[in-house]
Amino acid sequence: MTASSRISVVVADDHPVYRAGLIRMLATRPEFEVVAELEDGRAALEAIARLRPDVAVLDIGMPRMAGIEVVRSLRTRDVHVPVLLLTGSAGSHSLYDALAAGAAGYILKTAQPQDIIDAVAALARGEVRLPEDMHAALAADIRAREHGPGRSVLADREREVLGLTADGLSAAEIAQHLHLGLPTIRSHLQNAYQKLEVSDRAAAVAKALRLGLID
Amino acid sequence: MSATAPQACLNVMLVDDHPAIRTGLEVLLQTQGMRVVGAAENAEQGLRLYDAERPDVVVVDFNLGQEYGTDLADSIVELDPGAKVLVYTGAPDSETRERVSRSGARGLAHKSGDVCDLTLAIRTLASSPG
Repeated sequence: MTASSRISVVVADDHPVYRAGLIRMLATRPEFEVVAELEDGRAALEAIARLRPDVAVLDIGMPRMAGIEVVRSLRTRDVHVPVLLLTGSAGSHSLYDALAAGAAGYILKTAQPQDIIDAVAALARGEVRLPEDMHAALAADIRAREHGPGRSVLADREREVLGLTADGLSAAEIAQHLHLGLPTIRSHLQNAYQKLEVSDRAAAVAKALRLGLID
Repeated sequence: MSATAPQACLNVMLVDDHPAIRTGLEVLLQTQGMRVVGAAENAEQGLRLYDAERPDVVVVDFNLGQEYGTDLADSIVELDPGAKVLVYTGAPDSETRERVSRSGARGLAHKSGDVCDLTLAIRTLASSPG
């Protein structure tokens, strides 16, 4: 296989162990060439814009810039690189938002190596990939939009975290309550702030209450 | 700490239900000079693998799907009271810490920490008395 016929891939994930695993998975196939690995969204954006890989594989919840924001920024810059977003759980982020932002694929981080490899290869062929086990979550997201434009602004988990914030819980207490890590809770809050176009917790709660997104 | 044991090539076994994490840990521990003798994706496989390989240290994910890694730690220690099991977890809350301290596991390492922290924890555990 010649170098030019290989599929160039940029990989970005802030978790070093996961990133190493993903790169090793891709390295098992000679058609892939990982041309850059990054640990935050902003660095990923710059690398993708500079290297123009065939496919970019991005964690959806990275520091400095979330995966969806990287996809949006690529579109703004007119950089047409298919992006596969990796997510920890089907319900934690809005599939609709990811696809609307321009992502070409979405896959669970817990997916089998072969499924991730197949998804990257499919995106390189210009296809869109959305695993069957996530169709239900996407359908639910679309239905939520049909029934109320406000509620679908936030993913279920973001709404839940914001609701607990409104109840007076700190991020650490929410993490404990939901049995999730503190970084995950902070990521949900940051995503909620971005979607609500606010910069702090109090403003997010006030706006979410006003829009009827939380009770 | 013994003068010879810490630098010996350690045999490490992994148990994690997450394929990419298993692969990533394997890659990173190998780069630190450790020998990964096997990786299992659930408690049942993990116990069988331990029995077959008897590694120096076992790294077990706290959340093994529907099971707790601490339950596997207990099973391994029941099989081999000298087993050295390290539980690997995301940001540990008080319940996680309590479960780990009550279990047969000898230590807790954070997934969000630097990989060097994990390798240090493995080496420290390996050189501790059996």
